Amino acid sequence: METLVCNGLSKTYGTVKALDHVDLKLEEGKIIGLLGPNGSGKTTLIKLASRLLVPSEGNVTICGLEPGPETKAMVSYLPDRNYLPDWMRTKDLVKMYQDFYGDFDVERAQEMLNSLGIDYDMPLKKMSKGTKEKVQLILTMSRHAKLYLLDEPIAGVDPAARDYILKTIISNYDETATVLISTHLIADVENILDEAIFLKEGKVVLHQNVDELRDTTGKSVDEYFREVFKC
Amino acid sequence: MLGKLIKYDFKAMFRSLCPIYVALIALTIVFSLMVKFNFDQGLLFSIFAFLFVAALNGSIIASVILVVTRFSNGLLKNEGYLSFALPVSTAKHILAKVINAIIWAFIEGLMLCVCLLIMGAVMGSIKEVAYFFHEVFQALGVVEKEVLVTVLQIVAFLILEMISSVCLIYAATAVGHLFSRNQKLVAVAFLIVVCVLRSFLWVGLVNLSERFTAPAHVFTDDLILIIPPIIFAAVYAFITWFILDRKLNLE
Amino acid sequence: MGWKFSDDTPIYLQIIEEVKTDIVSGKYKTGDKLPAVRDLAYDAGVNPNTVQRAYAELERQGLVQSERTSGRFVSIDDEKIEELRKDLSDFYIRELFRRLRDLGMDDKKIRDVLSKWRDE
Repeated sequence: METLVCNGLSKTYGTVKALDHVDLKLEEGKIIGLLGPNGSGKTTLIKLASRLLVPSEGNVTICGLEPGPETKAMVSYLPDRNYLPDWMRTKDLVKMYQDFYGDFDVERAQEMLNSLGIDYDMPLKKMSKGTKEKVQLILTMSRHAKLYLLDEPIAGVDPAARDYILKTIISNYDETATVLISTHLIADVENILDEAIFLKEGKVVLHQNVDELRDTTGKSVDEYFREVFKC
Repeated sequence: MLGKLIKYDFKAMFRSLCPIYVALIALTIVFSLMVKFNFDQGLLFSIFAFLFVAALNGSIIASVILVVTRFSNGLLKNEGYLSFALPVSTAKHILAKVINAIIWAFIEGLMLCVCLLIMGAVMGSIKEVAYFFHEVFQALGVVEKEVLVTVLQIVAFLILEMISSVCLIYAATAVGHLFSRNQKLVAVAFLIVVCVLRSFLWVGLVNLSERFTAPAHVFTDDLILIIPPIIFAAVYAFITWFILDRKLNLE
Repeated sequence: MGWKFSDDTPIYLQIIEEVKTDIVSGKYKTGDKLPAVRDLAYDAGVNPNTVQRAYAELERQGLVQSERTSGRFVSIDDEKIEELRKDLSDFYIRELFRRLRDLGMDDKKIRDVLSKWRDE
């Protein structure tokens, strides 16, 4: 069963083609890396799937549905920035997620927050960057979603936080869900991936199972990526 | 979902406005006491009088600014990534923001009444205030029904005008969002252009209605008066919806 | 994070290798339970599907057996362990020879070096 399908999906900003006739099928139960240098269209693709953008051409569907309130209820989206009001405290945020998302698992969230020793009364703005990212990820991964869209979840955090974030992803996604992780830090994520998608100037240049890729090229995804995107 | 959206907007607004209202009430009490005990001269009094007037005006300006920034910050800045990921339609987001504006206009009005009451109660006496209200209600009782209906019509008209102005400001903000630079400038320009167009339209409408009714009756027996603000509000809301739903492009 | 993996072979093969080494070394004995897929994935820092694939392959090779509800168990007799040990050591020796040949040593030279190294 396919969670996310793109048919000739294109997005143009003025004269710039951010995404150029992308065809993709992402199956359930997979962790998939959306890999490409900055400006290759990773964020655009994710925004189209979460309906923060409307396609210029083609379409994208989630579990067979056009993006809208119905798909948003099934998609857990982690933007590549601080998207939460910074005056809110951890407990307010947990309450808010619980209020808006029927699939939010409070116990799971509390368990993770407790294991990190996060202060429920501390507002976001008083947290360190790493802690903030962890709280955002915990909220995102505490939903029982069909599709997780994680935009640069490990950029700009220290290696220890990176490990924590990746382990949180592996141990929390449901077997019927799909996780799409966009990143340019390939070496860090490649061990947790089932499949890799290479995006180059808005086009998909590769979509392959990671084991197969290693088998056929004799290289890690990171090495192969460097070869494909050599300047 | 609509109720939850309104709740979170209310919380965000309350956080900023609550201190202002507390200050306003405190200054009202201090000012009234000063007047009551003839402490109404000198520098200190001038300072408090100034602060009091500033708080009165400030609370109005602050609530207007906060209503507008709640819209732009909540939907078009980083928080937009949260809002538009929620399982809620764009129309509901806009409706929640309009209701948020109505709620705070009402609270602002209420606060100003409370200040007046406090002044009346402190400077005069509670009895006098009560007597005043008694008189007002008695007067309302003997007022002719027609006049009452007209008053209600004007009140309805003013509320609708307020809603239509709010929708206009939201539409202007949304139009500004279409541009990658000078967003505020574009929004203000749009606002000015629409206001000019609207006043022409109003003149036209009044002229039109004069042809059918005597001029003096324009503001009395025409229920028609409340139709233009409804149409304007609908047009502005549609512009806002169209941009947020179809042309959204968060930075 | 987790285990260290080399770049040139699929990760599931490296996990198989790891489990086999643990069996030969006696860390896992017949009847021992293997860690659950999710737990191993978490510890190794890899995708659960990768662990699943490694386990399936180990099962196909007859080294582990799965019980529907209680998980996977090592099931191997001494003869099979010996066989496995030979397979692994063959692999390492082959690898050793390959590398030393890459250094320009012929087989005689390699044998000399090896016996000298053992004596030391």
